[in-house]
Amino acid sequence: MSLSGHPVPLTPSASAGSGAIVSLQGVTKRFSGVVALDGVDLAVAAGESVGVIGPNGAGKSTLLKVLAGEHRVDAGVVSIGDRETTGMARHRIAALGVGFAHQIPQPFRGLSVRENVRVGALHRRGPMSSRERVEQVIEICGLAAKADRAAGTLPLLDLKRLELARALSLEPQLLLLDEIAAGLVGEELDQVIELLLMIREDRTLIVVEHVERVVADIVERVVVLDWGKLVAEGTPAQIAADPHVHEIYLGTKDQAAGDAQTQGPRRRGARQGLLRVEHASAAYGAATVLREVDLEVGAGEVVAVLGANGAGKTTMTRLISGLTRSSGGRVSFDGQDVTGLSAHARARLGIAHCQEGRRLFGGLTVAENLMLGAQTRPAREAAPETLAEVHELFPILAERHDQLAETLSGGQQQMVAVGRALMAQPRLLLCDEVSLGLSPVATDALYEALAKIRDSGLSILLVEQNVHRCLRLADRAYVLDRGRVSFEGDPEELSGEERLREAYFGRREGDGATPAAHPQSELSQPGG
Amino acid sequence: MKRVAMVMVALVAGGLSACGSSEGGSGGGKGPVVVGASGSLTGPLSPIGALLQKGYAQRVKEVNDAGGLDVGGTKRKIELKQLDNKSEPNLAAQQARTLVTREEAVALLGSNTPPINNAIGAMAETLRVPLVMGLNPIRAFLSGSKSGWNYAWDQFFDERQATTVQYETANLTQTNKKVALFTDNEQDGIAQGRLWTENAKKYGYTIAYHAKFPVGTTDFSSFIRRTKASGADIVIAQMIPPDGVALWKQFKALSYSPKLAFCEKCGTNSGWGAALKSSAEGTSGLGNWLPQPDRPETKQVMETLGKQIPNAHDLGLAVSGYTAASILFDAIQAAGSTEPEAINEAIGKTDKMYPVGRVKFTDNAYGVEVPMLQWQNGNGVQVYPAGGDAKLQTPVAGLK
Amino acid sequence: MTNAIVNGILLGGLYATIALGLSLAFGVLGLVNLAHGELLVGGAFVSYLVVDRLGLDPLLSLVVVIPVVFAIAYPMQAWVLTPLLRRNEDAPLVATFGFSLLIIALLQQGYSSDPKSLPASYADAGVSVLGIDIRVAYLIAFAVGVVLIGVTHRVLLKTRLGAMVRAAAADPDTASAVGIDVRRLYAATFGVAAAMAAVGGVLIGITFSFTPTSGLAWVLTAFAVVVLGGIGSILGTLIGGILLGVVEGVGVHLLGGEWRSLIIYGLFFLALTVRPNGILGRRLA
Repeated sequence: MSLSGHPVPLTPSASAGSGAIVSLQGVTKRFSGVVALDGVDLAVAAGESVGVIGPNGAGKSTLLKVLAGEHRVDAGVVSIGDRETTGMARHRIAALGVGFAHQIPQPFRGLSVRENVRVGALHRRGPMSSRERVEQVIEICGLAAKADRAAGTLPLLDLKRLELARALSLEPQLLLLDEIAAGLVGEELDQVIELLLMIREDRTLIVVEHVERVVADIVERVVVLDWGKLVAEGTPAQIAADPHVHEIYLGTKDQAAGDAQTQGPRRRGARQGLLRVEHASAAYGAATVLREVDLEVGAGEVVAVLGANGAGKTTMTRLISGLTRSSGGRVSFDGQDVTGLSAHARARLGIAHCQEGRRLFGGLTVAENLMLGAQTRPAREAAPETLAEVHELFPILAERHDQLAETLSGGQQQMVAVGRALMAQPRLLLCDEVSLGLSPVATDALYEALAKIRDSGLSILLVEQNVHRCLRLADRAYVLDRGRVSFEGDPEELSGEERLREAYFGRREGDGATPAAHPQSELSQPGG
Repeated sequence: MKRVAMVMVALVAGGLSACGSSEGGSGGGKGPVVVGASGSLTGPLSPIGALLQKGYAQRVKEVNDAGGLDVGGTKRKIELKQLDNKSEPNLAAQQARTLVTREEAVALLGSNTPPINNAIGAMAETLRVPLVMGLNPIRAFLSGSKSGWNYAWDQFFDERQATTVQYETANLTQTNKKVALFTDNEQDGIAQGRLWTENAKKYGYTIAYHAKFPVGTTDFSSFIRRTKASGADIVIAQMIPPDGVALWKQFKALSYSPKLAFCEKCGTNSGWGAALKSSAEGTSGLGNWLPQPDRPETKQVMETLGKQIPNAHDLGLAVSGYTAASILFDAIQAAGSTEPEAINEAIGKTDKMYPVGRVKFTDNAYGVEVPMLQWQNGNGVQVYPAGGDAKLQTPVAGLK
Repeated sequence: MTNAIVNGILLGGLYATIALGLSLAFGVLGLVNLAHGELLVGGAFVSYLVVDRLGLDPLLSLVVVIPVVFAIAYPMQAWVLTPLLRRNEDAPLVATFGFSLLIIALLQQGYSSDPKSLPASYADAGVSVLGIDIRVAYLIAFAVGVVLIGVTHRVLLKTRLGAMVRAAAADPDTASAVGIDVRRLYAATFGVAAAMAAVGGVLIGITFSFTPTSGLAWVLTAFAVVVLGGIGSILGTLIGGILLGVVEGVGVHLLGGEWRSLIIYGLFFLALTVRPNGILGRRLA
């Protein structure tokens, strides 16, 4: 730590060569069996702004947290400036001049804006008194008028500004921004981009961002992560036009073609509305996530719900299962209005929900997890047979019967989650990102199983990143865009991809080199 | 562990939290004479507080039934304003202030135990308002003020004398003169433990074992083992009632049967008999009042309070309150004024027969003579001074 | 010394019983139940009433005490604590403090502060085993504690109900998504925890004494046990209880009775510092 005070000039790392201020070499990070970063090499030059993109679970946030010292790497070397920071404590890395603005701002809610920023500034010594620095940072971030307000009372945009201000109060040479623009709309987004452009002037930036415009406007270079690996690199325009990147987001057609054999004929017309969502809206606090959405699932039908991060897909499934209460509209199941029913009551009616992130009871065994799925009396009485069916579908689960769920691999955990849902003998299966973070092999196995489940007559609502696979299985599809349904109909109509690309990457104009303004309006889901 | 820290804070805060309630009212002028009392009406000391209140109420009723006090030629009724201090000294002091400043009380009556009474006393000194109390052993009272009391007056037993009564009582029977002391870590427990130790020698007794423990102790096994090993025939304990009940149960369970067992502060009200039933039999404890059967004051109290309160221990507590009220009201009449200074001066000149004896204050204190009572057939009966109709029974029947 | 250890172990069984409900409520509901001590004393008073009116033996009175206390506690969780929990993690803690004051006020209204004790022949009986004098009441309390903890542990670990409870403790959202009525399960858990506290209260009434305000001292003891044993760990409760009983017994034996409080709270803070997650860690069961 520098005692001479600030600014600490971050001198380029000698080892990384070519003036790199940040260097990762072969960095690997695992979380209980899941590889979040897989041998990542990356060098960032002083003053450069780099964007990191990739689908959910690609390892983007992990990359930032590794740099900030919030995670220890399992292998590889991390250097910042001329210091190797592998294994260095967080506060020491911060003292090297590394600021980190988190995706979900967590200020001290009871303290004022000024106090929040001051708390950050306390840790640094510099030529300026900390009081001056605090005022300057507050001014830069456009919080001057609100400096005395309690942080807890700020709207989202100001919370994001505060998060930035807290990071800036450390006078960082390197600033790590994790989805700083998520959840902002229209003018708010413009303001944040303007702020970021200003901050970029004399700093090195590494930005994880889903909002396409931020990437396009702020960064000079984009790296694409998928499955923990660095898979593509280029200017924002190059990346936006890269078919390989599209595949990463939407899945490959080749892969999906392989599923065809496991799929029976589509049963159109069998649309006795099993589930009907009418004009449903949902909000988290002040942020509206779904706006008057209509959606229907027929008996025995497979319906896909697609859309970019933060479009409201997960909220859609939670709204149906009752985990999130609607702020308007109606949900009916099998002709019965279930809008006022709690989640457990809806589950007992036959709505099974495989939540994003699997949500197993990690401390319970596989068997206990599965048996907990059978809550109604009929389901309990039929449990032995249903269990046999689940074991037939996922033979590995029979072997892992008495193992704690948390010790399974990601793919196996997902099997348990689907198996647990099936144990309820449901009539509707809600699958939220079931293939997220799974290896291609595991994804194949899972989709095979889903096809069989479909063949048994169960209705399925699929929320997926892996668009092509999902569309292969689906009888109908919806595309959600900023909380509204922007498309409903035959999945084949989506195969042209233009609509999908719009939903995922924004509408292109002209030659496609300049992505148009397409702010995302919603808070992305936790873990997104 | 943030939660645990919060819990500790909450518990501490809970212990301190308290709020008083007060009723509107006014004193002075030609209306009633307002006298204030902060009493332990709830909380751990409420059984005692309730008896004290009975004593006050009885005296107020008597005076008012007779037309009130003659204050400088005007008959004025007494209005006693009571607040509940929840057995907490800080709250009691606060309430004393409220009673004087807001309720316009011209004088105060005391509460119970030294911590509460001395806290009220300190407030009375600050406010320069007279306070008459009982139920505050006078050594504890006197040591409660470094510079001496001017406005607070106390009539109760003197610990120096009270810590000899056990030995005097023990002299009535044959023992090996070995004593096991059980004292808790409250101020009076420590002070009286020392006095018993000093007095033992004078009376030819030895302290074979001295158990010291914090208030709230429940498991006394190791103390009892040592007591048994010491061969003591006599137990003298000074502790709060719940702890005393737990101790007595364990004496019995671990088959320690002493010849004599004194439970001061614990075995000295009717709750003792109610909690321990037959195990309470034979426990001795100081009474709060030594009735002098031939005196008219005694007969009068027996007619009134004595009829309401059958238990001798309890009656003594009420009589202490009755006496305090009597002294104060007599002084107001003698002063012929409701001026606190005048009343205070009159209290100092008190020299009159009351149920507790002829009260005359020295250093603001008057030592009351107290008897030793023993639980026999569910009530405390006087066994010392001898001469009553009851005789000291040994060994302790409830611990056999 | 042997005496002190044996006595400490037995007393530890009683301590464990007292702490069990607190531990369960924390483990499952994440609730620091400040009304635990008052539920405990409340149970003792219910027993006192039953013993007084019906002339039942205090242990037999549990047949009445357990359902009554359960029925009182169930709506506390269902109608007050769970709805509060959804809004703010710390709100239920404050609410339990309110319950604690309320119960004390009610008990003081109904009973004086005179100490009460539950009469039973075994309450003041003793036996001598190998030269060690043991209170029969301690033996009973120890046995009750061991059985209660054993049963609780087994139910949590080996039954379907137990799996539901652990599931709802780990992830209430997902539990409700699989069809578990979490609100009812939470209320039932709190009811059971309160009933366990009441059992502890009855044992205390038999073994020692109680007043409307005794709860505070016992809840502090229970906290010490829970912290020693591991918050939410059921078997840890037994270990924590015995450890506390033995350390207290031996400490008092060696240092003298006036050190008792210091020993207990010293151990408490030592455990918080050295092993903040308790001897067995903090997982439920």
